[in-house]
Formats: sequence, C-alpha cells, structure tokens
Amino acid sequence: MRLRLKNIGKRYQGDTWGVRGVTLELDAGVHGLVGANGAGKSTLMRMLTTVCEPTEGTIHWDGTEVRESPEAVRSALGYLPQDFDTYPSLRLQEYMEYVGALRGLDAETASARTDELLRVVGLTDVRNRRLDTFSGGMHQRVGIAQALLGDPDLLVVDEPTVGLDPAERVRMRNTLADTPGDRVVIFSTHIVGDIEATADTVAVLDDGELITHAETETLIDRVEGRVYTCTVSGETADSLRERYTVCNTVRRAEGFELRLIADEPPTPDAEPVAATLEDAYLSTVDHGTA
Amino acid sequence: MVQPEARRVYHVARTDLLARLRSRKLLAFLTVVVYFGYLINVGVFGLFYAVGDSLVSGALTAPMTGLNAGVAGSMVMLFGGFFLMRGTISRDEQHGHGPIVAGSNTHTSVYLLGKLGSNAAVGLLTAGVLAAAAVGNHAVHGIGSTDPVAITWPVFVMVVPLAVLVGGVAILFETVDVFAGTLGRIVYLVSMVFVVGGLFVPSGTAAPTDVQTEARLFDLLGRVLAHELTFDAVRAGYPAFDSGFVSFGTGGTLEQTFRYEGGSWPAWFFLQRLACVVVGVVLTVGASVPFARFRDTAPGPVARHLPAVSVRSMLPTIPSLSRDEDRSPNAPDDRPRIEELSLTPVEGEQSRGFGRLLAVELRRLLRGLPRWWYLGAVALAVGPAWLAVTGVDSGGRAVLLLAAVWPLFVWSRIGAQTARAGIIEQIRASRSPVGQLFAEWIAGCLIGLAVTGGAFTLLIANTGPGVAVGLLGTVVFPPSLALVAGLWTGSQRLFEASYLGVWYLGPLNGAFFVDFAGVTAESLAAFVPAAYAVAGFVAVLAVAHRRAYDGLVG
Repeated sequence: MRLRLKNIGKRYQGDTWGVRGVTLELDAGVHGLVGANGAGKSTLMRMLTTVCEPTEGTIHWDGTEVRESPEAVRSALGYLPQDFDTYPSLRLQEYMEYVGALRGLDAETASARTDELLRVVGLTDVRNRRLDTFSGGMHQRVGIAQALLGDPDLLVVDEPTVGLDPAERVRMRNTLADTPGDRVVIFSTHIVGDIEATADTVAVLDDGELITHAETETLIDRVEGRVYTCTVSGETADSLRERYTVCNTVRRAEGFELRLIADEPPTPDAEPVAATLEDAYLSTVDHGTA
Repeated sequence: MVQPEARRVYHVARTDLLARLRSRKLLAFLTVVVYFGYLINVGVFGLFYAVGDSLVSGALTAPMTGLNAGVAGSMVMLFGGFFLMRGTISRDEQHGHGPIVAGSNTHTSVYLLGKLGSNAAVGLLTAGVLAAAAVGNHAVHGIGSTDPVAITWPVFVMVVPLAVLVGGVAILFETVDVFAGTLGRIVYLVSMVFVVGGLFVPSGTAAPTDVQTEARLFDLLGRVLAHELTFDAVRAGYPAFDSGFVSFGTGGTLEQTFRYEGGSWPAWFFLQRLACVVVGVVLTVGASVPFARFRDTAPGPVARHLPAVSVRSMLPTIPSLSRDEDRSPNAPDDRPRIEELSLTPVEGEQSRGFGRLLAVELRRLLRGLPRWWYLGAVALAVGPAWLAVTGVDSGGRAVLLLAAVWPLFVWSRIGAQTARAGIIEQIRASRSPVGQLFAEWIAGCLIGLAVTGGAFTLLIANTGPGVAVGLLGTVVFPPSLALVAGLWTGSQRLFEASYLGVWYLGPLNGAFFVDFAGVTAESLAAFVPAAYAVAGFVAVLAVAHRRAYDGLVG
C-alpha cells in the first residue's frame, strides 16, 4: 500500500496558499508530519482524507486517483481530525456503533472491535456513559478508538495527543505506532518528541511547503556532532542567538545555559551533546534545510 | 467605581456587537427589515380597519408610513429579534472565551449588562435600517412630501425600547438551563403569540377611550397606540364606521384609504416603552442569579479542552471526571497494549446496510430528550388515533397544530449537530457520506410521521382522505429545512426561527400559501403541502449532490 502525493496544493482567495507544491510518497509505516502552527499540516491531512479538495496536484492511494474515486481511500481510512467532536447525547457504545455503520462494518465485527479497542484505550467501564460527560483526555481516547475501528490501511491522526497527560500521551503514541498489521500511519503534531519516539519518517512543513522528508534517524544524523551546550553571560547569549540556531535556553545562577547548533564549538567551553529530532527540526525550519 | 464598570459594560457590548456585525445572521435579519421597509410603502403590509365589508388602509402619508414602520419594526423585533439576540452568551462559551471572562473579576451583572448593551445596539441598528428604508421607499411610493423626521422618530421610539426588553428576555432565557434550548424558543414564541395576538387585544372596541389599561400595558406591537392615533381619521373618512379594532398585516389594500396626518402621541405609550427598558434591564440583572458563569458542559472541542474554571465546576455536587478515571479498573497500568491483543480482523466487503445507518441516526436524534417530550410524543401519536376509533369528530386541527411543532426538538438536531467541524469531517471521510445525509433526513421524516400521523388519522376519519396531502408537507418539509439550514449555518437557530415563523403564519394563522400542513382548505386545494414537500426534497438532493461532489460544506 502506498500513498502518493504529487505537487499537491490548496489555494484560497488570491495568492493565499494553505499548502503548496507538496510531493510525498508514503509506504507502510509511521510517518510524522511536523510543523509550526499554521504550517499547513491539518490542511494537508484534510486533503488526504477527502474532507477537502486540493486545488492543485493529485493524490493516489494504491494507484487510484483519490479525487476521481474518493471511495478508494475512504474504504481504507481511519481518521482522527484535529477538532474531533462527537454527538453529545450519545453514549460511548452507541457512538462506536454509529462510527461502525459509517465505516461500513457489519454489526458483529463492529461490536467485537469496539470491545477490544475500548480495552486498549481504557474506556470499557464508561461505555454506557454519555459523551458529554467525558473529560478532554477521555474524549481524545474515544477519537483514537474510533479511528482504529475499521482496521484501516491508512490511519490519519491529527494532533492525537492534544489534551492528554504525559503518561497517556506516551500510551497513545505507542498505540498508534504498535498497531499490528501493515498500514500507512500519518501522525501530525507539533510535539516533536512524539514523532521521534514513533515515526519511521518525518516530513517537515513550513508555511505550507514541504521543507524535507526523510527517515527520522537520517534527519537526526544531519545535525549529529553539531549540537552543543554552553553556559554564558547574558550579553554573550544575545550574540550567540544572532549567529546560531538556539534550541533551548535555561537561566542558571551562573548565567544562561544554551543548547545550540553550530559547525564549530561556539565557545571554548562548549560541550557536544547527542542530537535529537527537535534539534534537527529547528535547524531545518531555521535554514530551510538541515 | 461607576466609570470602570461602565467601561467594562461598553467593551463587552462593543466586542459582542462587532462579532455580530461580521456574521451572516445579522445581515440576513437586516435584509428582511429592509424588505419590510419596502412592503409598508407599497400597501402590501400595514395597518388597516374593517369597515363594513371593506378593508381600509391608511393612505401612505409620511406620518402613516412612520406609524406603519414602527409597528412593523416592533413585530420584527418581537418575533425575529429574540432569535437574533439569543446565543450571545453561548457564543462566548463555544469559542473558549467564556473561561477567560469567568476567571476575571468582572461582575456577572456587568457582563450581562454589556450583552444587553449589544442587544440594544442591534435594536438601534434595526430601527435605523428600517427607518432609512421607509424614508427611501416613501420618496418613491408615498403620498405628499417625504418628511424624514415624521417617518423616523416613531420607528426609534417603538423599536429600540422593545429591543431592550426582548434582549433582556433573551439573556434571561439563555441563563436558565431549561429555557436555554428549543423549549425556550417555543415558550417565547407561544407567549408572544398570546400577548400580541389575543390575550390583551381588545375585541369589538369602539372608541379608544374604551381600551382597557392592560391592553395598553401589553401593547408591545403598538396596535393600541395606532388605534388611538388613527381612529378619528377613519371615522372622518367613513362616517358609518363606529366599531372595530385596527389590524396589522397583509389584509389591507390601497383601494380604499383613510388619511392620517399625524398628531400628538399619548403619554401612556412613552411610559410603557420606558417600562420596557426598565424591565429589560431588571431581567438582565436578575439573570445573574441563575447564570452559572460559563457552564462546564459547554459544547465544542475548544471549550472541552480548556480547564474548567466556572463556579459550577467548583461545586462539590459535580462529579469529578478525573476521579471517575481513577476508579476505572482499566486504569492505565491494567490496560492491554494493542500489540498484545488479537484484534478482530475486518475482512472482505463488510455489510453496508443503509438500515443500520438509519437505525443509528434515529437513535441519535431521539436520545437524551426530556421525559415529558417522549410522553407528549406518544400521546400525540396514539391519542388521536384512539379518538378516531372511538368516533370523536373534533379537535383534529388543534392536535395537528401541536403535533407539527412537537418534533421541533428532534428536527433541530438534524444538520446543525452534524455540521460541527469534528463530526462533519468524520462523516465526509467515511464510506457513507451521502448515505449518512439521507439516513439523517429520513430519520427526521419518520419521527415526524410518527408524531403527526395520529392527528392525520383523526382528520382523515373526520373530513376524508383529501387532508392526507397535508401529511406529505408535515413529514417532508421540516426535516428538509432543518437539514439545509443546519448544515449551512452550523446552528439550529435559523431552522427554528424560520420554521416557527412559517408554522405561525401558515398552519396557525391560516395564510394558505405557507400552510405546509394543509390545515386550511385553500392550501389543500392548491396542493401547497405537496409543493413544500417537493421543495424540501429537492433541497435535500442539492445538499446530497454537493456532499458527493464538492467541498466540505454539507
């Protein structure tokens, strides 16, 4: 199974673009989509899921052009939108039955998978409670369960860890990454740590354009050996900020501890540290390429 | 102390008004107002008397146009203004602004008075637009010189204080849980129908001096005022006229007219309009008692994800959701990892039965309504049929009127709930985006059929099968309107306001061209219900076509 995007764009009024010229090929595996707020992640996902039409380019799912035959992707899709919402008066069990019907599952399969997925997301005991009594975290877990209900070959999840506490966040991203079977999972977030822990490849969007798409390790390797930490005075910190990509700043009693990316040690006492995906991401969006 | 509070009121009002000015709803409302400004100047709409067998309207002098415009504006404000002004608090809740206000040190009454200020500004805007439209149209269609002052001031005096009153009621209803939804809208409409249309209106009155005090007190529309101002003018033109109360609507023509050239207005009317303002303010301040300063059950993903800071959320009686999570035996450590489970495979071509989709839509629409609604629905469904069997031959029309409005609670959910961003995206990305639309619509039709079927059984038993065509309009038109209006606006308000308006004018008041239920003989003879059903069905097909082939809307 393969999702292929060729020169995809979404143009609004005039010369305003939500997404522009994105070309990607995604095979089975977990693919992270990162970018700042407004970078075009959600717009891209909405086009992948047939929720909105691209104004430019083509999307192919397993060789079928999605705009010509949206059913091809819809029959394979599990989707958790960023603004996931439910019918408030329904109980959880009823809502899952509703999604099962929408996804075209037969009643027995829907019921069995609902039981299993509610166990996974820890909502079995509240399956008869109305959805409008759920907390934000519980609501998000419902979103994950409904996205997996149809055993999708293409799983698109937009900011799935929003509103979850740290432990639940880890559990949810593991659920997405460890879901058995070959499938294309597209996982959008601005929490780079979630992507680093789960994704096989990472696509970085900035201002609607694809900056890079590479394997996670490859992206990290691009900055490996160029990440340093050093503790400096305020004046020096200002100077370093102008010259380098600063990934983190912590105020200490002895000055400012900076984490930055540089080709050479930025100060005599700077120490090299292991690179992370966040370093690679910041370097990428800072320079257009890592 | 007063100045900072006044500043807060001003800014709440200003912000709320800006949000309204940038919405389609206010624009649509003002368009209707402009149309009224035209209608009253071409004699289609206005004040008229029954003199003998004739209907006599006021010749379109500037004072008459001003009076007509004032009454028309009052009617628009009274019936449409309420629906326009509602939602000012829920808008803050839905967009996540509520907790910010709730967490501030702005007193609740100050916040609500700011909202009332915005409502009053809407009244001013409405009066201004209507007055301008009336002046402009009078210059083209009117009689005599176009005196802008004579046309304008009655509109402002009649409409703006009423806007304060209606705005106060709208705020109060929004703060009381039981009236915050569809029930509140129905209660308001029915109350106004009684106040304006019957309860306090004099009948067979001769001279204005015979009008009782309560009729003046509740003269929200301004008909008693108009009667007092124009009565002598009618008598001057038609000496035979000695009794009858002025009417307002589409009945009159300009073929026979009386000439009203203006005159001093009675003091009681100014006092009554002043009382409207006072009552509006009192209701608004009083609304701070039931107002729970942003409900923790506010709909919408933004509100749900924000920390609950409302007063209500701090009360010990509200169950803690986090505690519930802790009590769950499926607490994080007990849960299986997904790779440890052998998930049931989804194999081959699964069932895509439309019946299941219809069943879940039916359940979704019917779920979570108050018990009295279910009891009423069963009574309306079964009661009339039982009456028909037992040979009772009256009451069918009254039952039908009630049955045609009872499913409003269900129909309101059609389209509007689905249009919420996170839901419509799931549906559009599913295998049955168009099937869901038809399932939702058919579910609404079936519920309408169940509730109104009894009334039609009684009517058919008593008057013959000809009335059955009314069933078509009653079953098909409301869910179609709900679907289209709900998906278009993302809210149930447009549907409820327009449907209740049509129900009020047509089935209730007998205007046959909007009688979609076939209550009047003229409507049945002209197949009006069938026309409404066809129009509704065509609209649904258009929405389905758009969902199948176009972008996100619908």
